[in-house]
Amino acid sequence: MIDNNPTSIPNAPINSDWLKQLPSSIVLLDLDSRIVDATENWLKRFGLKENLIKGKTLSDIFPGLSDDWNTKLQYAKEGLNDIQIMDEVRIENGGMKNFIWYLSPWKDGYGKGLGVVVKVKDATKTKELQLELNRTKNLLNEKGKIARIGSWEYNLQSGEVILSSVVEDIFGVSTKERLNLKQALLFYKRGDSRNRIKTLIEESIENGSSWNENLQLSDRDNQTFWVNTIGRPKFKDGKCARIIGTIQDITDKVLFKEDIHGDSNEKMDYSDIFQYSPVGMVITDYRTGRILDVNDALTIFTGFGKEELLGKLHSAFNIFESLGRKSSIIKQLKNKQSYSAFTVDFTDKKGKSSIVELKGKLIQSTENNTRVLTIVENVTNTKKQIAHLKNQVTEANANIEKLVNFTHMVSHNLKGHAANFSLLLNFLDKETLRKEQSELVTIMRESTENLTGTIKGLREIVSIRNNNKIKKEALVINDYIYKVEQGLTGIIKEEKAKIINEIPDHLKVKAIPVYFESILNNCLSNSIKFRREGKNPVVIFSAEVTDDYTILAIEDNGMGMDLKGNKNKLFELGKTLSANKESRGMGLYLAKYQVELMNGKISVESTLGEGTTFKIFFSNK
Amino acid sequence: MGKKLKLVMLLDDNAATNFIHKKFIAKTECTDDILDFQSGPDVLSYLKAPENTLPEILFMDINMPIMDAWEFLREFNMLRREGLNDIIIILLSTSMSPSDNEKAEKIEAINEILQKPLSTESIAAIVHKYFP
Repeated sequence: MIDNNPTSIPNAPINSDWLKQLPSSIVLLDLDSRIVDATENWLKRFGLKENLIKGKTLSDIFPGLSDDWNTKLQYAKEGLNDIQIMDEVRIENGGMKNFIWYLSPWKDGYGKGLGVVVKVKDATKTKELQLELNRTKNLLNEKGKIARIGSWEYNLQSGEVILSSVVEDIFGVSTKERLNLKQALLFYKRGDSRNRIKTLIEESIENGSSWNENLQLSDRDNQTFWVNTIGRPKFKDGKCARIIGTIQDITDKVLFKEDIHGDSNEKMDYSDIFQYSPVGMVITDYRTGRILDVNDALTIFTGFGKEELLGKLHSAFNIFESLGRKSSIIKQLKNKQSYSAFTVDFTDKKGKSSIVELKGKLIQSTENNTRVLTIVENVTNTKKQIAHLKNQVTEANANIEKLVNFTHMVSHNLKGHAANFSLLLNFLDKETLRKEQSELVTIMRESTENLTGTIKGLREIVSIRNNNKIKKEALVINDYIYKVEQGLTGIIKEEKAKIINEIPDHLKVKAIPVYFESILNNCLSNSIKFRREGKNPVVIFSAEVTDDYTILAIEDNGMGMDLKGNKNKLFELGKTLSANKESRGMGLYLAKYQVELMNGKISVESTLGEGTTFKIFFSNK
Repeated sequence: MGKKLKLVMLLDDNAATNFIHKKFIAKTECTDDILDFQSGPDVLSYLKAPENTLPEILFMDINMPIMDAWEFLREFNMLRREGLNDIIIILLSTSMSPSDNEKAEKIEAINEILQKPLSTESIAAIVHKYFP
């Protein structure tokens, strides 16, 4: 608050000779502004006698002194140094003369205020002095205005409370009307503040204690004021006669500092943390929604300068535009003093859009000056990652479902086989007839072959699942067709199959080698296996290249299928359209699965009794 | 032992299963005749022909590659022939899946679902239950 430099007067020995001998014109006033002592120079200047002035006030001696003396004396008592007043007083010869009065606090060696030192100089001395005086006066006025400090006095005998004009202004009363104590106390906010000031006054009267506290005034225009109130009792004949003090409006300080800084006794400056935080932050007024402060991170992120944002409404700042949810935010703030994170689309000054997350909490400084601290975070990347993860989870879930179906299929299949084997062996044990025994063995052999086939297919499916990280390569189609033909030589010869290849030698597809081979193998062997009764199988390979796909067609003259309502079934695990014993509903399931793993697709056209064409689409990417 | 049946029919794509069930049914001596099929369409064409004897009981696998039990029953329900409604239809499954049970409850023609393989006891119980 006010500076506390002690003046040059040491442990003031009252009535000491050395003071009187000082060449300057000085008068010492006590805390009641009554004269304690003066230099001879001072007495001489005004033609006064020492014994006539002691215990009197300056206005007793100089009745014409201006009104603001009391206030300025009060400032000096509170520690304000070097206050200058120009005022004219009657001098020895009866005429009026202008003087400059220098007021400074009078303190003892411990810094305790004893009163005021008033030094007097001739005002006419120099023009400069006059100018300086004006300047100082202005400064003082400004300081007084800025500091908004004023004095008051409570006279216990009359019961009156007298306020200086600044205090009236702080209290928001304009009348010069005199108040009683009860009326004056009403200016303090009901509750803690009013109770406290009452207690302070009572204690002061009883114990002679002084106070220096920050309290709240009653609301005016929905605004709360904080004041620093200082009071000191004056005793006369062992009884408290008056209480004098000052009141300073410290609302700004409280709101701009103490609310953020917390306890005023342990002031820590958090403003740097706000300003330089890596996270964007906005402080808004709870009631009006206006932006009061933003930090560097926010201005950098939004591209808007601080000056463009301050004072704007939430809604003017397009982060808050989507506050159709505004009412829900206010509700949340009311109920739990904070609002939960939510995201909005945001476009910065340059038009770049992103997703931001907002969350905030109330900063409760005073009941009616509540601010909201909102944290603004760019979560665009996080959101993208979340979306990506969600996709992966969906995919994983689909895979899990497939896997569950697969497991179900496998266990179902194998369980059936296992149960059969044990029963068949049981029969074989008990059977005595040779013919029956050989029939049992035949059935068991068929079952074994069946089971072996199933397991082989399952193993292939499992190996796909383990290998799905393998990279695609550009493969020469014909190399693989030849390779597969080699592997199927036996059946090709046996069935007298004819294979026609119309694919150009250089043509390549992007595929995973193992899968490509497996797909070709499944399709070719199907075409031969499901041949038409009495016809030699003919299989034609051809290819077509489009923008997106390289399409491989495998056409046969086999038995064909009735695909009406059965197209999906064809590619399902464990399903088949033919009664052929060799079909286990695995080959095409595998082919489709492998094609899809390579981002391709497979289609089928068929006419019962005429033949089938499979088309496999290999993605060119 | 109750009444002696004329014909019991088996439908399972697995030949070994049919063989085993045939043996068990024969052991119970509950029927004069047993017929087994490995695909739904074969059974349907048998039932369609008016000269063929209708079975009193049909034991049928659920999961079959060409035509599963559900597809079979859709077709079966569209057949027009006297006496088809009297056939006791028993579904067979290796795994008692809840979804199968649910599906079965919605289809009137199905009498019940049993675990496979059947045993002489379970066969006898079925015959006793439906033909006391």
